[in-house]
This record gives sequence, C-alpha cells and structure tokens, in this order.
Amino acid sequence: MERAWSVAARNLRRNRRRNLATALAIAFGFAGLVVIGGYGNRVEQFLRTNAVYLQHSGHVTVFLENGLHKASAEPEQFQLNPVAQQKILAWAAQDRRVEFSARYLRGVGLAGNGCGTHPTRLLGMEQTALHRVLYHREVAKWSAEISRPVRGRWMDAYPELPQAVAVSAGLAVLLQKPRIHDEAVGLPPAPLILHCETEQRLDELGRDANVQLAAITYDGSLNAVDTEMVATFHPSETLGEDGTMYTSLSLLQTLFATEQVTYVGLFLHDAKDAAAVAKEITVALGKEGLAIEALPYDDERSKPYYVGTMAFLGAVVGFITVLVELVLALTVLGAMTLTILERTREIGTWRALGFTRRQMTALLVREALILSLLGLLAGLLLGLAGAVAINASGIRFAPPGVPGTIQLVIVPAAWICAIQAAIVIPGLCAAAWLVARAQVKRNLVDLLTSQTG
Amino acid sequence: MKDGASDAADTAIEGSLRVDAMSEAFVRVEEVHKTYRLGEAEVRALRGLSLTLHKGEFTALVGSSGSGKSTLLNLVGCLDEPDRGRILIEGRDVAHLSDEERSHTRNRNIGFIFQSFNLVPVLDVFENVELPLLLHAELDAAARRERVEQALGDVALLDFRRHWPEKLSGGQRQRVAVARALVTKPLLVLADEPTANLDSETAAHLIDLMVELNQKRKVTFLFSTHDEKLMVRVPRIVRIRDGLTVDEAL
Repeated sequence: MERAWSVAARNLRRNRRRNLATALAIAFGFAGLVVIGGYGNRVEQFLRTNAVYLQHSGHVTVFLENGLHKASAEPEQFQLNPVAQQKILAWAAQDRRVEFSARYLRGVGLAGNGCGTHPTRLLGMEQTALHRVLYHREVAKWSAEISRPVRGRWMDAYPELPQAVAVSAGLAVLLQKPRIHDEAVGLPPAPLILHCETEQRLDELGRDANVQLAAITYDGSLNAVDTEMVATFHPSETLGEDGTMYTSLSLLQTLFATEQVTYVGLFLHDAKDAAAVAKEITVALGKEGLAIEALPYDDERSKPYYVGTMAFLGAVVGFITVLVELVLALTVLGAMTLTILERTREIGTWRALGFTRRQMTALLVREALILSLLGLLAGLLLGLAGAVAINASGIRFAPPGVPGTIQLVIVPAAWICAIQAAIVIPGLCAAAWLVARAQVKRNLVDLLTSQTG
Repeated sequence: MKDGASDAADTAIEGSLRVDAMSEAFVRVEEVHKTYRLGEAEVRALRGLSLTLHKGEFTALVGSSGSGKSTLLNLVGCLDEPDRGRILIEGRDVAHLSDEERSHTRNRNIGFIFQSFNLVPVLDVFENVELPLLLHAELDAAARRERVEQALGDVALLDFRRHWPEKLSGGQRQRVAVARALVTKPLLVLADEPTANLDSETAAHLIDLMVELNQKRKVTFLFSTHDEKLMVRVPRIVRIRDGLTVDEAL
C-alpha cells in the first residue's frame, strides 16, 4: 500500500514514551549481542591464529598417510622423507592460495642443565618460516601478546647462533635457568663441574643460558647437543608450558640424525580455502604415488581443542542470542499489544474502508519493523561504543587452555552483527504479527464499537 | 491498492454474486435475521426484517436504541453477516461473501459515515479523504488528488486540506467523513447516527449537505437517527421497532 511506511512511522510517534522505551530495550539487548558477538569473534580469531600460526601447523598440515598418529612412535616409517617433502613444497609453490609453506620436525627428548633433566617436546622449524609466522599480520592483529617471547628474542634474531633455542617459561624454571643468552653475556662462566648438591647450584646454573638436549636417534643411538636458550615463551597451549622447546629444523635433524620432517605446514592467504586445499593436495600427490594425510586447521583430529572450544563458544553465543531474542520479542509483544488495543476502533475504520486483514496486519507489522530497525541501529552504535570502552579499559583475563593472561578485546564483526540482526528482526516482526493478526481477525462490528481508539 | 488477492476477490465476486434480473430495486433486504449473544443472554436484533431501497434514494432509519438500526446498517454495509435472509445490492447477494470479498465490496461500492467521525489522527484532512482511494490501483496520485479535492470542495473544506483532524470542530470532522465516504464514488452511503455527536444546528446542516449531495451525485443514502427533528429534512423515513420495519413514510 502506498504511504504505508509513512503512516507506520507517524503512528510510532503517537505514543512516544512507550515506543522509546521499547526501542531502548531493543537497543540495549542488541548492544549486548554486538558485544557478545564481538567477544566470540575475537576469541575465534585468537584461537585460530594460535592453532594455525603459533602452533606452527599452518592452515593445512600435511603428514605422510597415518603420520598424525604414528609419526611419533614410528618416525622412520611415518615421517616425510626429502623426496616427499619436495613434492609437497613443489605443489604448494604452484598453488596461488598458499602464501608460504614450511617444514617441521617433532620429537621428544630430555632437556638438561648439567644437574638434572626434564622431558620436553621438541619442535624444529625453519628460521625463515619462524620469522614469517611470528611477524605475520594475522598474528600481529589477533595474538600479538602470545607471539612475543616472555624474555629475549626468537631464534631468527641470532643467525650466527645455530644452536639457539627457545624454551617454554615453565621449563626454564624447572631447569633453574633464570637468564637467557643476552642476559648472561659478560657473566663469569660456570665451573666445568657444577656443585649440584649445594647452595651454589642456583648461582652456577644462572651464569649461562646453556641447555643440553638429549634424545634417541631414529636408528636407536643416544645423541645430545648443546643449545643456547635465547628466549623463553608461553606456548599456545597450557599443556606445553613445562616442557616445550623450539629449535631450528637443522639442529633437531642433527639431534635425531635424520633428514625427515614430521609434517609440512601450508599457510594460506584465506583460511576459508583450507578444506579445499587439503582435499586437492591429497588427490594431486596421490596421483604421483605419494599417500599423504592433509588436515585443515578445523579438523577435530588435528586440532581438537580449537574445534571443541569453538563449538562450545558457538553454543554459548547462540544460546544468549536466542535468550535475548525471546526477551526482546516479549517486549515488542507487550508494546504492540497495548498499541493495537489503543487503536481498536481505528483498525475497524481501516477495515470498514476496505483494507483487508492482511493489509492491516502488514501495516501494524511495519510499525514493529521500523521500531526494531531503529532499536537495532541504536543498539549497534551502543554496542560499538561499549566495545571501544571495554577495549580501552585494559581488562585482562586468562583464556582457557592458554597460559598467561591476555587483554579482553571486543572486535565486533559486520557479518556477525548482520546474522544477529537477521535473527532478531524476524522474531520481533513475528511477535508483532501475532498480536496484529489476533486483533484484525476480530469481528468488524466489535472493532468499530470498541471504546478504545 | 490492487494486488493478486484483490484480483482474486474481484473474480470471485463476479463469479459468485447472482444478479437478480427480476428486481429494479437497488438494495433489497429480504427476511433478514440476526441474533447476538451478550454474555448468557441472546439478543434478537433483527427478526426477519425486509426493506427495499431504490437508486438515488435518501432514506432515514428511525427507531429507539436497540431497535436494530445499527445492525441493519452493519449488514447492508458488509460489516457483518446475517444469520438468515438475503441482502442484495444491485441484485447481488452480499450476505455470505468471504472476508476479502466483503472488504473489496466495501471499498468499491459503499461509503461509511460513523457517529464518532472515525478519522485517522495521524493523517491530515486530505490524507483521510484519500485513504480509501489508496486501494484503487488504477488511480495515480494526480487522479487521486483531483478526486479528493472535488470531494473536499463538495463539503466546503478545501481550504482545510492540510489541517489535522484534532484541530477541526465536530461538524468539520463529520464533513471530512462525508467527503471520505463519497470520494470513491460509491453506489451506497451508510451513515450510522452521523449527527449524534453534533449540536442541533450543525446536525441540520449536515443532513442538508447529505441531501444536497444525494441529489447532486445521485448516490443512495441510508442513515440512522433517533432525532425526530431531523425527519422534516428527509425524503423517506423507515421506522424500525424490535428488529422489524413497522412503518414507512414518503
């Protein structure tokens, strides 16, 4: 109907106080959704960045077939040999979706300080890849705090120090190594034979950043290397805090006496391509006779923590959205009930002049729609302002499964706000429709003889 | 406005309404019964009432409160359905149309003037009069404006076109309602106690205006009143008592 929007807007001005209160209720409710959605977005980006970059896995992690589960137990059989590595790297180099790729070697060993040893998980990586990962724009944007070492600088800052390693902060404490390489420069060297059983031990261990690394080579021999702790860091998972070391790929290959790597990480321009890339590389290399297992970052087998947390977070945000939606729908239901009751005779007049039930219902729903849109717009602005205020307040919290604390940052995303609005608006219109429909279905004579409106 | 539903309603009306070729009467009410329930009580508002209106006639329904005047107007105006009996407008039985068909019939064929004026407060005078024309898809804005201005001219309110209803006197509001009732060029105008909320002088002027428009536009008028003083101005009077016509005076 021509002029229906104008009439609906004018009707909203008739009871300004009630409609303002309703719009404010919608605004506050939606502002809450914007903030919750912004928190969910931030956490998702944070966890994804950690899973892809800071766990050094890439968007797609390429193992030899069955390598995900068997590479640790039977490394010689289930890790990637140089030929396989080259095939994977060559495929990645020609695919435009791949930003860069990197080889990684995983293993376990013992980290020692001369007085004792502690089991540790080892990850050897190419220094160029380490640099690209740590200074990647996604890391800088979403997980800058976690990507920074607790102390010192990453190994790529020490090209002249091939034995440079980074040690998880908890392991450094266990090893009683309070100083990293840069802090130990100039200190008198520790004696060749340490006084491990005496009080002097702490002083002697603290004079250098030397950590010995021992492991069983793939052919069964015991091997050890001297390393220099240039940084301590919080790994992206709490579980690794007391036993994780990053080394160069060559250092770890020397320790295990192998040329193999555990996996190749493919870092993509766009995370959305992960599943397709994983599928295509599996097929392509399979045709070349190389059976691989390519896992996208959101595959539960390789990233159960990320997938599980996101599922939980999605359920929480979804539940809150539905809850807010219900409250807002009830608010609109109440407001529209009063509005429509007040205008009973007027509705009868419109109907008497020839407007059908459907046309009248549409006119009344338009009012709810305008009110909802105004409320949502105000809620969006309010939510954005709330996000700015929260971000500026510097609140810190400990995210589950991640060591240390990070700042609470709300990052509203347009697509999340759009989805929330797309859920809320039909709900509010449906509430208005229910009330309007019930009223316009009443007997026309009853409407016209009503004492209201 | 004329959407798919209205088109369907048009077709249904054309198909379902029977043309009574035998009658030259414009409106025929035949043996109509209507009973309401008021709580536990049953109110037999019409008890087999019959009435005939001829084209261009100006008729007053007179009767005491509860005599059935308003019920009869509601039934003739397609606002309600009879329990029994037929209501023929130009030979077409409108008693048992669907809701959409009744809406369409009201918009195209019938104009209403209510006791409480029933103007829409968020629309100005022009827009109130234009309101039923918004359902006439065949009329563009210019054609609607021409019709509205003509209707407002007929009731001498052209200069008030941009006034809000709340700023008008009772008599002016009812003249706006008259203009709104006539703007669609209906076959029949129904007015239920249109003078009840007006002082006697304004009421007399309103009746004079309606009679004048009846003669000028040749539109059939049926209005109800219990004000005997107005009867001198009305060409035809039908008296109702207990749901039946008891007397006719020409």
